[in-house]
Amino acid sequence: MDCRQAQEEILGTLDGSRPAEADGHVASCEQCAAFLARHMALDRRLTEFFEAPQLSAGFRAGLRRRMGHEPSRLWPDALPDLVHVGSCLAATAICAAVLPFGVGPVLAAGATITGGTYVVALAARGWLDV
Amino acid sequence: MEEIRRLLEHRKFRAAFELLLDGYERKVFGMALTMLRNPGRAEETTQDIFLKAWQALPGYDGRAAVPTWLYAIARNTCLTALRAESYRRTESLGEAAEPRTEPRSDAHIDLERRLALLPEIQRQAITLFYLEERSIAEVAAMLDLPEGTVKSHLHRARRALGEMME
Repeated sequence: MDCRQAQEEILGTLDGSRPAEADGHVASCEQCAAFLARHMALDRRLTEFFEAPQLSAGFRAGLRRRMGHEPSRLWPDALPDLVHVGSCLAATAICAAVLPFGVGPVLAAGATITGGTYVVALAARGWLDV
Repeated sequence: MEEIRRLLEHRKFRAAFELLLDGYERKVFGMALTMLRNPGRAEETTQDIFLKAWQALPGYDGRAAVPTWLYAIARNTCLTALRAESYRRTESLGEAAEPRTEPRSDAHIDLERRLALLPEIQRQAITLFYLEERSIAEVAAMLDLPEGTVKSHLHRARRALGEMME
């Protein structure tokens, strides 16, 4: 093994376990021994330098506060609208079947009320978001 | 990690999120710190990352491992923060750098300067390698690179730092 190969082994072994052949070369080569010593010193310095980062004490409290404002999206965003339209359709159908005004006027009233309440709901959402 | 998957399968998102936070909060913060190089900004971005993970948990489909999924969110969020930071710096060129909270020794500053001279990907690889207790697999997952590529970046970074120390 020559110096170049030994130095490649030193650089390539990240857990300190070099092949015996590389260690044999280092034992008999002053230049590679100095190379190894330099890299061991560098490794120690880097280990000390990169101490485990610490989050501040308020990290989780801050995160939970933000999570409270932005809950997990367990339901699709459009679910309130679907529920609104679905329940208006059901109410219109029941009214058409029960009330003595005929289907046409009840459907017209149902469509108007559905549209009107949708607009009111949108406006209310806008006010609540503010 | 298996426990998190099991909880997600049973749609117990809150419990899964708590485990995710316990297991990966420090790792994600280390990643954000490595990419953003500013503790305050990194902590804020770590909150953003976990907030996004919380919102995205119901949509987790299990195709990627949980850490891979979380690290992808972390990488993208850090890149967005970096772009915003770069825009902010362009907007206010005269702004002074934020002061460090702790005094640093000369040796510390010297090593910091040498690390800053490395190509960005080598600096990130070597930083995460030492922060993540020398786990090549963890660094590879965080940087979304094959393990061989991470080893190669580490090899080059160590060579360059060694030459700077001569």
